[in-house]
Amino acid sequence: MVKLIKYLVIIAVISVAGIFAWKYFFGKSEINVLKNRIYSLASEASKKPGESLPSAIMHAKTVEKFFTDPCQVDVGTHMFSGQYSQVQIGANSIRYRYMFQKVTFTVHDLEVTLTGNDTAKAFLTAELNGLTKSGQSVSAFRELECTLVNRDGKWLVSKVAINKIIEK
Amino acid sequence: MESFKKLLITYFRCWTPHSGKSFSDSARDFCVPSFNGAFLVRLITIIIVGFLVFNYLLRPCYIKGGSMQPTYPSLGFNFCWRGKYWFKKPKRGDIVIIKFTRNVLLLKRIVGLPGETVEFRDGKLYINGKPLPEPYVKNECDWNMPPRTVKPGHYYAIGDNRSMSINKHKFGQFRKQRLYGGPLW
Repeated sequence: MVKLIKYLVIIAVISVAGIFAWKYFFGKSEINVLKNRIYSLASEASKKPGESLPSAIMHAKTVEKFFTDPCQVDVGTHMFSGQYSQVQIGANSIRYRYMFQKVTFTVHDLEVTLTGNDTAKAFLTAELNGLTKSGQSVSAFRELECTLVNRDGKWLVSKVAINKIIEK
Repeated sequence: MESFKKLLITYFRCWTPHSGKSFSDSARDFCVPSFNGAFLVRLITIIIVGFLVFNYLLRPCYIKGGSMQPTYPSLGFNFCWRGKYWFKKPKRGDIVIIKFTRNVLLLKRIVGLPGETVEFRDGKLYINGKPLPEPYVKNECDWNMPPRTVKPGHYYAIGDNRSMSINKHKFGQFRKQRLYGGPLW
């Protein structure tokens, strides 16, 4: 009897842990949807070596659909700051794809918080690793703050800002 | 010598209890284990536990740079204890490790808490307009920085070594989510 109770307790603990793990990793909560959206954007923005032009155009068209029209880009006093339409984002995407032989965007330390029913903020560290057509390897990290809005059931990035990790 | 040998024998007998093996056989089994199921389980357990401990609890860190001298030398090794702030908030004077990039961590000391103003006047640090006693700072400096307020959910951290120019020292406020832990020693 004691053995049976012991087995039942073990099964109960494993089941509860399994349910939590399943919810945490595969649950369809809004936070997970948003996280997957950011990871998908990074994946679409990456370029594999030997990418064909039709494939590049297809990826660029997919990338532009992740953003609102227009989208605010705020990178301090940099010349790239300003508002970008979806078409401009797509065109810039094609331009940087042309510059690189291969490029990988990786997202680290992604934190998503819902700020309203249809708005959310994402803090992440974006890592870019690429090899230019001239053979120069490029590696950069940026701490990004993205504002996302829900438009017709789809989460779109409406603002991207570069944050300083440590600011005097 | 005899007592040491006895200790070894006891140890290896404990390792293989009631096996009836001689000391040399037990020692050989320990040093050159046979590749059986039990060995595989032990190996996998060690790998998993090692991975979890050294990734999520005690992250090995190589200290490079002298921003925390003389408290920490410019070259050294330490572990980042990730659990230091799981159940408590950082307080002024705590030495913390901040996640800077994927593989780069910053070792700094917290001087300003959320909502406080931080200022440097002729090398002296002022918090909310009052000078902060800093016995850990051994180098005189002439830093000047106008007052700035620490944002909510942020902490202000500076290194102990102020001998370099203010522009060359990496310090400032950071989000509390960037707090990675504290040095083990």
